[in-house]
Amino acid sequence: MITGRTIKREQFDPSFSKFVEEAAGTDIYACYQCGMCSGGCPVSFMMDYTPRQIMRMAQLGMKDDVLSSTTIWLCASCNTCFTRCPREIDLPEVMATLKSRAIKEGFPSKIMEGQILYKTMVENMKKYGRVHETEVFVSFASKAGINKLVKQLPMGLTLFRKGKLKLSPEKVKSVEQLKTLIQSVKQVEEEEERENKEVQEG
Amino acid sequence: MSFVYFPGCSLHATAIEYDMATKAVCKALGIEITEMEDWNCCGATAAYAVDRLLSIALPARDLAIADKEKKDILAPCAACYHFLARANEMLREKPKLKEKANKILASIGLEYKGMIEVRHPLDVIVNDYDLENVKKKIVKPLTGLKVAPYYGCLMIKPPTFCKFDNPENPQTLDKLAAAVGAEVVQWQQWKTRCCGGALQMIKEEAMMELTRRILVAAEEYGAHCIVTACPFCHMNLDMMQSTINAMFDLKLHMPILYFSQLLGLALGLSPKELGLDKIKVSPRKIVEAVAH
Repeated sequence: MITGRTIKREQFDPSFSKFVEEAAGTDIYACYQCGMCSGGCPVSFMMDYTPRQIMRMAQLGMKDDVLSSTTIWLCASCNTCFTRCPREIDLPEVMATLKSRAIKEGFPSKIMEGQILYKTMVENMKKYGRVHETEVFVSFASKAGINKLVKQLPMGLTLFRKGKLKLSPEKVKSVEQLKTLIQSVKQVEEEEERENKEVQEG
Repeated sequence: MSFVYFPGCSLHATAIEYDMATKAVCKALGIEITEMEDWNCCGATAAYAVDRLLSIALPARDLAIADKEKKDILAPCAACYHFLARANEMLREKPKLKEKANKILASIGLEYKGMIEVRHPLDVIVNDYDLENVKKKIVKPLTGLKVAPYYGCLMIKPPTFCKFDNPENPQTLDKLAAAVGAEVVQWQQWKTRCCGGALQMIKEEAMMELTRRILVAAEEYGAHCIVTACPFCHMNLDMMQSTINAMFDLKLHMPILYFSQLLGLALGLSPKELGLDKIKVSPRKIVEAVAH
């Protein structure tokens, strides 16, 4: 846990701040630490760092502390912070950017369920073009541990009884078109990464 | 009034009653809807958290399809509405992103033009169709029913692209509930509180605490039911209610209705076609009261 006194210069990575700023598309340096975000955040009571602290850490480039925080996974993207921020900083985009970086790097966290759930859902979307909730549920539970499966089972059964769970997936008609779209997304991203590298290496 | 209807993944499965009720209500009101040809998932909070560009590219394909049909999108799911509107706004505001998206869409023969709007049926019914016209079609006013209007987050926040209501004290659902003859619970500090959304899977304790507070508040305010427009809120408030009762030693029995189910009842549609039997916490008393 970081307190004001324990921050060391070695923890700062300016390239990380730059990445967050660009990928989130919002001015993280506009934050003047008023704490409106933390005050309105419905989940801050469970977070290890409040949203305000995460913003400061992101400005300073404290990559490891930010990516291993529980905060980014507890953010429910409710947008209360962004709605109230006097500096109009899009905090949910910042949190989502941090999530995506943690997922990409497989960064260890006290809450791995977030990474597992979002990855499972996106894999499912890529496969069918639509989310097959039943498959996501089973696949998530099998990866997140038997506890989850046991906990979620009663709800799964109720949903099934009510005719709200589909056994076979619903797919887009043009699965091939979807594959091409995903491939193109990957290509554009790779091009961008190459360009960024070239700029950095100058 | 004619729209491209975007059900999204939940409305074809865990929120099937929302789909049934919304279609039935549109039909009864004479709002023309045709399901979008071969729509794909909006990406929801998952693509948003995994891949920045994918979270734009997925909804961009849907927006491009609607562009081709030259009709605004009608999206009842709060998350679909939010993420389609987000992509629409970002593609309009950021020329570089639009260029990238169109490069991606060109590979599948589509183009984003930004000519159409993403609309929520609540907004369309209350503001375009107009409540005065809705009132003319009401055959069973819900007199005596105390309704707690619950907006959640994604449909009204952030105001940069969810533009049809006030993000802190929204009124659209309140107005609709009043128009169908119900008594509207004034619980301003609760109607936009987050239910925890996807935290149900990620950190169950967090979701349980957030959802418990909303359910307890509704009961304290004397509500007979909560009315919502979001499948995630519905899942947490309805499906998880018995688990919350067990965990916190409570005896809540708070039926959670979709707004179109509430409106449908007042329009005289049958509980069956509104999918009211799909709700876990039984709204039987409400249905019986309306029938008399």
